[in-house]
Amino acid sequence: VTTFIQLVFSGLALGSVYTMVALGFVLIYKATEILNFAQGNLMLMGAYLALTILTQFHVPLVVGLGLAVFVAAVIGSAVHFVVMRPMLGKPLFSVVMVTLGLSILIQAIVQLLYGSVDRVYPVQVPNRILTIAGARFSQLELTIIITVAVLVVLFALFFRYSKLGLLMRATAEDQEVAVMMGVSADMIFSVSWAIAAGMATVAGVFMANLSQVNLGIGDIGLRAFPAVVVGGLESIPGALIGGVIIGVAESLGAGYINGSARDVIAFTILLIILMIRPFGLLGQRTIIRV
Amino acid sequence: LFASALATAALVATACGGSSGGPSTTASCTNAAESQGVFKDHVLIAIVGDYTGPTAATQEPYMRGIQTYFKFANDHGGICGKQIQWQEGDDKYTVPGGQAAWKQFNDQTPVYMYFGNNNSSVQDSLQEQVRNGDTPVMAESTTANSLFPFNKNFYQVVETYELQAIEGLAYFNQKISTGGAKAKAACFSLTVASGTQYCNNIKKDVEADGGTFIKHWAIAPSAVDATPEATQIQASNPNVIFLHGSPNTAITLFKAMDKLGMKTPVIGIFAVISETVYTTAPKAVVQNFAGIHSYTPAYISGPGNDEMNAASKKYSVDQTVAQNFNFVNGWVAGKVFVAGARAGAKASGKVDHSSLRKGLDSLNNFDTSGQSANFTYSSTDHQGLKTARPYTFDFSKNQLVPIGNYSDYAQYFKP
Repeated sequence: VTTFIQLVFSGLALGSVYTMVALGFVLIYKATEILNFAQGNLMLMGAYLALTILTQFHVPLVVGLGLAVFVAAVIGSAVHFVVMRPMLGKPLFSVVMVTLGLSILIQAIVQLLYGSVDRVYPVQVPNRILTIAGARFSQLELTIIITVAVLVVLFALFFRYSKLGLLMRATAEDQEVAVMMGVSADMIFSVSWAIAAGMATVAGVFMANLSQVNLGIGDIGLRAFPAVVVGGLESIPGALIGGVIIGVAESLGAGYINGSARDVIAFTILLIILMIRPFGLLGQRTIIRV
Repeated sequence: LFASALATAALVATACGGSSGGPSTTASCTNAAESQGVFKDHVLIAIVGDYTGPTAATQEPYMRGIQTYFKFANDHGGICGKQIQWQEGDDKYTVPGGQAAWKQFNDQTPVYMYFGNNNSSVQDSLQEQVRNGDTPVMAESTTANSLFPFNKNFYQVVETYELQAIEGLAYFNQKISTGGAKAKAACFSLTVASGTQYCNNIKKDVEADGGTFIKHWAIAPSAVDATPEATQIQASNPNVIFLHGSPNTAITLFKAMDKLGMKTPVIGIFAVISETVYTTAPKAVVQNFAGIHSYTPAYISGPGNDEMNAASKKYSVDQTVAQNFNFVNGWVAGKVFVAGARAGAKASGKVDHSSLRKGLDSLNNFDTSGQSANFTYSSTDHQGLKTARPYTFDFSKNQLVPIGNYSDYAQYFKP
């Protein structure tokens, strides 16, 4: 039983990391209907921004993280104006290819500026070990789980009750009508990119605490993809549920079968969900009348 | 016969005297062999590896070390008057990436020497093409398939996984085992060819030594959590864990071990040991960690490292890269290559693949001035380094500490 609890909790922690990445995908998709393949490397950018701030200004981790989120949000917004806005009205395939190009560009710039050598934050998220019900957990994992839970609630409330959230949903629902009603689609899209980049920074900093600051941080972007699709591309709670399902399933699979079962399980779940509910567990079924 | 003996003597004399990047031979080779990457005034080298993928932190310093040595050698006459030029290729630690790079630098832009195939799965997938081709190859790590049976084109610059396994077990028996207890070993690796090979070697050596091999666990390079594997390892109660992978693999495993309260000694291959592993992973775990490495860290003074450190500053290499363990590895790989190329050119009066192979094969007990054990290649053996040594860590100085000399571990090499 202890092993089971241990594996489930590790899966929850892993799932929380997937959820953080998935939230970034969902935020962009919800507002712009663009599947942003640069989300993983936005995490990479955020992790290195935090590294720069922490090493240059010697500020506490929370302050460094806050500043990094702010700078990343500004960059995210700029990405919309410089890279994505010219793509408005272009075929979806072209837009997706642009996000792939953006991903490669971000990684190349980070490598150009920082090189490939592993780096370490001068201050880390506390990582004491706690024992609950005979199973052992790290403080870092608990911090990630709690942070993600809080973020999911905040985003759900934001989209449901705030004016900006409502405008973002309206724009995603029907861009033309929203614009005719006086909504600035430009502003909505840039805010979406800003929030997604900020969110990616939080995820990147946690990833860097789980291992090191290095160019591999963005790789989890693709590993989190099954979580995004399972939960539903435009659902905030779906990102949480998808992340947790995939994280726990991977952990139990690796624990009770072997490590190679991780990807098999994740992508099997993805295939099954796509066959039964192509729009994801909490995604919206779209009915088009012709 | 006499002429052949003279030529061999000349090659050996050049090789033994050429431990430094300069001064080079005064002669100038004017030949060109463009299909072999040899031009009138320069030679073209490919330096391919993982510049941006999951093992870039290990491989990039290695490749920068090679490049820095080339700059140093160019300032000392290059290779028989020809400057060394190079092109980079990024395989991102993927087999398709490695194969594409190999194709590029063999078919489209032929090179004089190919530094690449550092990913063991890439290496295994290309070993027949390397064997049947003409381009000499140096790789950062080597699988048995590339070396045996003898491969005229493949040169190793890091001790084999087989020897790293033997020396790791010897280190366990001599320094860790209490009361002469035999190893009850778990093996943890990346999901690549060398991981399987290394763990198979551990299994063979541990069982031959009368110990018990429990199981081989493998994890993907991009994995961020090893708790399930660590849970299984803990349940199997090993007295030593042998580790293959990268610094990230090590940190992922060590964090999981710490979470589970495991303090089992861990012995790793060359690619997992770095200062950041010791400073990032929980101390309770890493204080029981040692790694086997073929090279001497840059901050340990010696004639070879002093020369390298001066050059890295002269050529404005980022010192976080230049002080990396693997930078030394790259610098020495460049040094060995240049010594071999010069020896071959001096003996034959021309620069091409054939003279390069002959020159490299003439390196006998090539002295790297303290940066590693001596190198020996021959026309029947390309293992090069036949010994390495374990390292632990001094937490007060944040530096790796060697356990003994390279020669202490030479006894484990069996031809």
